Amino acid sequence: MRSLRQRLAQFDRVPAAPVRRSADRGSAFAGLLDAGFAWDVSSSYLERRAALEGVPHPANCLDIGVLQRLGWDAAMPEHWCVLDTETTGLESGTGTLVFGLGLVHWDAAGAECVQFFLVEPAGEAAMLTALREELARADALLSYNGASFDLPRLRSRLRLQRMDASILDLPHLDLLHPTRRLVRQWLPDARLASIERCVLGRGREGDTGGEFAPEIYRGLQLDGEDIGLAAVMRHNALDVENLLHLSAWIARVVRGGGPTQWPEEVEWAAVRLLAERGEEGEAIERAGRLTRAENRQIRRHARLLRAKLARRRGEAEFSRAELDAWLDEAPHDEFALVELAKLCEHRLGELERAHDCTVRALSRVRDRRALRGESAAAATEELLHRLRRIRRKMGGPNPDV
Amino acid sequence: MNLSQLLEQLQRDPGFQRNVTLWHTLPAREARHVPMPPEVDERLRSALRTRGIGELYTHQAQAFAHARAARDFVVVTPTASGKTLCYNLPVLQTCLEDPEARALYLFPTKALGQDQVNELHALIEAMGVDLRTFTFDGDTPAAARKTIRQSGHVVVTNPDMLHQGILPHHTAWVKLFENLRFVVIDELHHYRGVFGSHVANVIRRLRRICRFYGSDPVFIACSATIANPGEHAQRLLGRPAALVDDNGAPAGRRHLVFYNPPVVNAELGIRRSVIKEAARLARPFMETGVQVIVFGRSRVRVELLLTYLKDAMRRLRKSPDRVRGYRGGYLPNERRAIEKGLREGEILAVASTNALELGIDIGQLDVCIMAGYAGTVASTWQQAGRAGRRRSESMALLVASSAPLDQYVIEHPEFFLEAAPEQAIIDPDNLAILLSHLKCAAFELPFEAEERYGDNDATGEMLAYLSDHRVLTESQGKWHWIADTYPAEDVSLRSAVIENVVIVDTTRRRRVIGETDLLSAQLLLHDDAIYLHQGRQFHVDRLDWERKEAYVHEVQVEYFTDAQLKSEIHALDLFEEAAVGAGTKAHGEIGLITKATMFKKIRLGTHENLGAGRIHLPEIEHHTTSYWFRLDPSLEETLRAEGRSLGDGLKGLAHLVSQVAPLFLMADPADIRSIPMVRSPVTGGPTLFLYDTYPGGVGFSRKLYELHDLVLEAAQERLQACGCPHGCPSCVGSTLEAGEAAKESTRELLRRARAMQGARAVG
Repeated sequence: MRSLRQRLAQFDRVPAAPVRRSADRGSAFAGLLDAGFAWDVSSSYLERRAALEGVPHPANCLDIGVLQRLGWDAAMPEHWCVLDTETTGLESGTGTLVFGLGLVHWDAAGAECVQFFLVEPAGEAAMLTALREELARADALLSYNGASFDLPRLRSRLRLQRMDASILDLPHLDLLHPTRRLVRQWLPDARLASIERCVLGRGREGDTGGEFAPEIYRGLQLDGEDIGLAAVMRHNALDVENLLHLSAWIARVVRGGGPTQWPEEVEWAAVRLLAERGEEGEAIERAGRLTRAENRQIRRHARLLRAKLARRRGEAEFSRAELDAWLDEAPHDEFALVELAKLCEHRLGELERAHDCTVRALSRVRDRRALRGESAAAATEELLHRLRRIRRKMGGPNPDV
Repeated sequence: MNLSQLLEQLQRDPGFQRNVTLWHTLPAREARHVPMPPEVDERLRSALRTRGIGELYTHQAQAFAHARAARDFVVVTPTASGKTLCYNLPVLQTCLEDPEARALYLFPTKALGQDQVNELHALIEAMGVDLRTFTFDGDTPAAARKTIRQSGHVVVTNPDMLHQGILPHHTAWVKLFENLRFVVIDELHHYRGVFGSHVANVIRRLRRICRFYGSDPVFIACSATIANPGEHAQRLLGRPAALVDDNGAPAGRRHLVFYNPPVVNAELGIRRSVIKEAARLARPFMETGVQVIVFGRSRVRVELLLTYLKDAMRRLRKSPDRVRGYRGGYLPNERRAIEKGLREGEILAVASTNALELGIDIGQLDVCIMAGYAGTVASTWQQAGRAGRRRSESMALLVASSAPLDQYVIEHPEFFLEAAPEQAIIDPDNLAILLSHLKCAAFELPFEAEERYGDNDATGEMLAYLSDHRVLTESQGKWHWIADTYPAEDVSLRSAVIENVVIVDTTRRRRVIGETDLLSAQLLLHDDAIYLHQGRQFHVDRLDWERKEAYVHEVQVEYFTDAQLKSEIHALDLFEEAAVGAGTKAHGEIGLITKATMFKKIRLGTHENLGAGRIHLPEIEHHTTSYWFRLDPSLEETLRAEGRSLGDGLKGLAHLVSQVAPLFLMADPADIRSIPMVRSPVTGGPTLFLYDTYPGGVGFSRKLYELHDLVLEAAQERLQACGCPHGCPSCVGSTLEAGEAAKESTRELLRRARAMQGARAVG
C-alpha cells in the first residue's frame, strides 16, 4: 500500500520545500524592533507610533473649497485617517491577507503615523481590533486606490473575523482619481512611485518596492526568516506620509492662484475640472494664462474653452475675441471657424462674417477631402445647410453652392 | 390524416417494420392530485391558479413536505412532470414568510439558468411581491453584481461561477450565506464523471462556507431517471437525501420505437446514414402537420438535419421557414423566438442538439426523432420526453447509428424498458481533484487543525503537504493560505486535464477534423499511419508531439496500418480482490507505461503484410485506477485444444467489454480503456485491465468491480446478438484488427468464464 505522501508526490511540479522555521521566532523580528516597532500586549502584532514632522496642516490643503472641487459631498472632516495596506498578494478574494497597515492620523494637532505588522495570521483579530480603535477617532479616510484595493480587502478581512465592517464606511477621498486626472497628459502612468518621483520630487534610494512585500512576508511565515521586513514597513510608512504631500500638491493645483509650479498639462487638466464643475469664471481666468502655453494644443484648447464658456455666459464679444485670436494663429481651424460662424449668426447678428467663416470652413473640408481622400459627407452637408440658411437670412439669391 | 392514423399506417408498413427492433406502447396515465397544502400563502395560491395550477401532483406535495421538514431530497420524475414546482413552491413560500430568506439555484448551463429565472419572474410578478431573482453568471454586468449580492432572494448560477466567482469572494455575499435556506441543484445526473467529482467538491466548499456563517440550507436536487439517484445524490451532496419518485403527473399514450437503418457494409459494420434516415422518417409527420423535434448529436449534424428537413418542406410545398435549428452558438433572442414558435405551433419541426434536452420550456411536441443514441439512457428518456402531451398520443423514435453503443442499445430494448441500468458515478476523493479543491477551500477559509474536509481522514496530512509546497502556513493550530495566487482560477470543473492531440486535415485548406487523447494518438496518429475518420482514409504526414498536432491528408490506399503498443502495468495499490467464476476480479491503483514501437502495413481484404516501420515516440506514463479480471491460466490449454486462441479471445473480450461498460457507468467510451494481457506481471496470468483514463480515476474502476457479472453478461449478449460473421467494430472489433478467429475465440472464452462462474455460484 502506498502512503498518501507517495501518492501526492505525483503532483509535485517542484520538489517540496518543507518549512524551516527557526526555533526562536522572536529573533526574526529584530529588524522591526530596531526600526521602532514594539510588541502589543497579546504579542499578535507589532506596532509603531511616530509623530511626523514637516508635514502640511490638513486645513491648509484640503479645505472645503478644494474638497468640493474634487467632488467631495460630505462635511469638512476634522480628523483624517490616511491608510495604506500591505497584502500577501494582489488577488481579490478571501485568501489574500492584510499583514501590514500604515495609518496617519492627521488633524489640527499634527500628524501621527501608526503602523501595524501582523506577526502571524492567527493574530489577525487582535490587529483588526486595534485598527477599529484607530478608525474610531477619524471622520474621513484618505488613500491612494483605496476604493478598489485597500478597503475591499480590509472589509473582507473584518467579515472573515465576523467583525462589523461598517467602520470603514467613512467619507473617503481616494487620491488616485484626481491624481490620474491631473497627470494624465503629463506622466505615462499614475503609479504612486511615478507620482512620488515626478510630482513630489521624493525619489527613494534603496527602497524595497511593494511588489516584493508578499515574498518577504512568506519568507517570515514559512521559514521564520527576516529578508527585509523593516524595509517593507519603511516603504509603507513612506507611502502614507507621501499621501499628505500629494494632498497638498493636489490642493495647490486645484486651488490655483499664485505662480504655477506645475506643468501646463496639469494646469490644463485643472482648468477642465473647474469648467466641468461649473466654475466658469475661474476656469476662464485660469485658461487665460494657458493661451500663452508652449504646447500649441493647450493654447488652442484654452482659447476654445474660453470662447465656449464666455458664450455660455452671454459674453459674445469676449467669445469672439478669443476665437479671432486663435484664428489669427490658425486661420484654417475648421472647428474654430464653425464656432465663430455660429456666434456671428445667432448671437452677434453679423451674417456677413458668419457667411465668410462658413465658406472658409467648407473650403477647408473640401481640401481635406481632396488631399487625403477623407470622407466628409456629413460635415459637408451640415456646412452647406448652414450656408443656405445664412444666405436666406441675408436675403440674397437662393444659394446653389 | 392525424398522428394516430399515421402510426397505424407505420405499424402495418413492412418496409418500415423490417428495421424496427422495438415498438413499445406506454399506456396513458391519469393524474394523481392532492389539494394544495393549507399553509401555502394565498398570494402564491392565486398566482398558481392563474397559471392553471389549483392542486398539486402527488410528487410535488411530497417534495413540499420534505422541504418544509428541512429534509434534503432528490426528485426523479420524467420530463414535463412539473419538477420545477417541486422547488419553486417551498422556496417562494419560505421567502414570503421570511423576506430575509435566500435560495441558490444551480443549473449546469447558463441558458437553462436564464430560462428558469423567466419562469420564476412570471410567478413572482403574478404575486405582486418584492422578491428578487437574479442570474449571476459570466454575463452579469459588473454594475449589477453589487445589487445581486445584497438583495437577491433567489440567485441563479452555475457550478463554475459558484466555484470561481462566488465562494472565493464569500465575504461579499454575507447576506446570502447567512440566510441561505435552500440550495437547488437541477439536472443532477449531469454532474457525473470528472465534472461531477469536481462539483461534489464545490458543494463541500459551499457547505463549509454556510457553516461559517451559521446557515444549514436544505438541498433540493432533481434528476433524470438513473439507477442510483439516491446514492448519487448522497455522494454529490455529502449527506443522504430522501427520494421523491412517485410521479403523479398525467401522460397521454406514448409509443417508443427503435429503428435500425439497413446495413450497407457488413465487414466494416456500416449502416445507412443516421442523419438521412432520420430526416426521411420525419417527412410523413411533417406532411401530416404534427410537430416534430429531431435531435442530432453535434452542431454539424444538426445543421445537416436542418438542410434535409428544409428540403423536405419545399418538396411538401410548405414554407421551409417553419423548420428551425436550435443549438449553442445561436443568439439568445433567436433562441427565445424559436422556443415561442414551438410553444405556439408556428414552427413545425426543429432540429436540435441536446441543448433542448434540458428543461427549457418549449411546450410538448408530438413526435421526437433521435438521430443516434444520446449516449445515456437518461438523456434518451429526456429527449424522448420532449414528445408527449398530457392528453394526446405521441411518439419517440430512436434511429441508431453504426456506432457500437447505438447497436447494443437498439438490439437490447429490454435494457431500456426494465429498471434503469445506468449509474451516475463520481469520485469526489480523486486525489488530484480533492487536492485542487482543498486549496480553493483553504483560500476561502483557514482550516482548523482537526477539521476534516468532506469527511476525509487524510485532510491533515494533505494540508501538511500543501504547507510543504509553500501555499499554506500553520499559525496557532490553523492552516492559512499564504500564496499570492487565486487557486480557483487554475481549476476548471469541466475539462479533463488530459492532453489531447488535434488532428489537422491539410488536404485542401487546413481544418481541424477531430482530436484524440495521447494514448490513442501514439497508436493511430504516428507518422505514416493511415487514420480512419468517418469512413475516410487519411495519411498522417507528421505527428508533432511537442505541439500535440497531427497533420493528415486524405488518401485512397489499399492498406491499413496496425501499430504495436508495448504496455507495462505495475500495481501500485490493491484495493479489493475477490474470486469469481473462472478467475479473480480486483481493482486498485496502477502505473501504466505505454510506448508505440512499430507498425505494419496490411493489405485490405487479403491481410498480406506490405511492410513495416518504426515509431519514434516517447513513453507515456500515468497513474490511475483500474479494474482487472484475471482468468484461470488453464483456459489457455482448454482453448488451444479446441483450436481457439486465448490471445485472440482476450483481445476480442477487451474490445467488447470496453464497448458495453460505458452503458452502465454513464461514461463516454473515451473515459475508460482496456488492455488485454496474455501474461500480466501484475497477476501472473491472462488478464483484462479496464482503467480510468482520467489520472487517479473518478470511480469507474470500483464500479466495474461491483458490476463485473452484469458487464460480462451484457458482453455475452452483445456478442450473441451481433449479426456479423467473424467480428465487426460493434462486437469484438473489426476482423481487420482482431483477426478472423476473434469472434469464435471470444465467444468460447466468455462462455467458459461465465459457465464456471455459474457453477461456482451454484456450488
